[in-house]
Amino acid sequence: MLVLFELIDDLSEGKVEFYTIKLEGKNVYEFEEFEDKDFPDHKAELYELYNVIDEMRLRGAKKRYFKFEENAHAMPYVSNEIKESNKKDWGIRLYCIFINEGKVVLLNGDIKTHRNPRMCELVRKHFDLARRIGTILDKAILDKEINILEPRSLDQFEIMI
Amino acid sequence: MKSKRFNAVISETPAEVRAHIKFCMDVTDRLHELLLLKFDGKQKLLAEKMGKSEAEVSKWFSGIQNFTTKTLTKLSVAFGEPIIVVCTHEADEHAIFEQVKVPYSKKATELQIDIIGRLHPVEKLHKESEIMPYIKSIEHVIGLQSSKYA
Repeated sequence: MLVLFELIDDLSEGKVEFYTIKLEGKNVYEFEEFEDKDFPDHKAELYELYNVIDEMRLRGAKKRYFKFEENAHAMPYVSNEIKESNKKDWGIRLYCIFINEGKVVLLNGDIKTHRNPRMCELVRKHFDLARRIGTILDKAILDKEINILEPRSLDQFEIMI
Repeated sequence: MKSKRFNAVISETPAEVRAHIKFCMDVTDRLHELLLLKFDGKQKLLAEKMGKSEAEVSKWFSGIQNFTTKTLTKLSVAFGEPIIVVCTHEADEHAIFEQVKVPYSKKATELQIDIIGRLHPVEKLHKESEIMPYIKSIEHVIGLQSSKYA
């Protein structure tokens, strides 16, 4: 399956280029799909998540802002207050790929309902996709197919998974 | 492409949530800065200094944390440097320097202090009599932070 990377223009005016991907045969980008999801019981969490991304635009995407689940980088900031009040699930996960402080790929996500993402019906496919793409991207960077120091170098880049 | 709802969600975020995120990320950044400066970036050395387990210290450095003031105070003592500084209404007699930080992405510029203590960009004050001996500072000063324990 062909995967196309595309720059999210309006999020990339600061220190970080945020990308997303489109999978072959789909009309929408992965991050668009995430944005379209409604999380009525997790509104406060969504505010925190989006505001962390917004702050990254000013500060750069420091590795410490990410929570690592194997080589898929979920990006949640959940305050203790929210964690304590939420007994039902593990909160929202937006899976992404951290490339460096200036480049991040935002993928898709959902509510994590099981401690282990592989056991969660909602996030499993997003988690797996993030891992697969992350692995191929790592190889492309090592093989110098992409120069990650160059501006917009990932825009319109294609890989096969 | 453009994001669909990102900016709308940012706009509707309550001000206190936004401020909280900024504060937590400031603290996280400061901790990493001090760890590098004081302990060569090694959590193990900080853990030894604080008499804590490495696992506990490692937790503080994973992701963005909500710290209690007690933990922040302990960390400040271990680092020998403040992590956060409170704006006191009176001059802090223990402060030995003033710290002015450039906010992200802002251009440095020169500011002057007028005779009643307000800050202005250099070009806005013309009369010599209105100007205190000027200081070099930055645009959008976010706080003159007294720092370092005496």
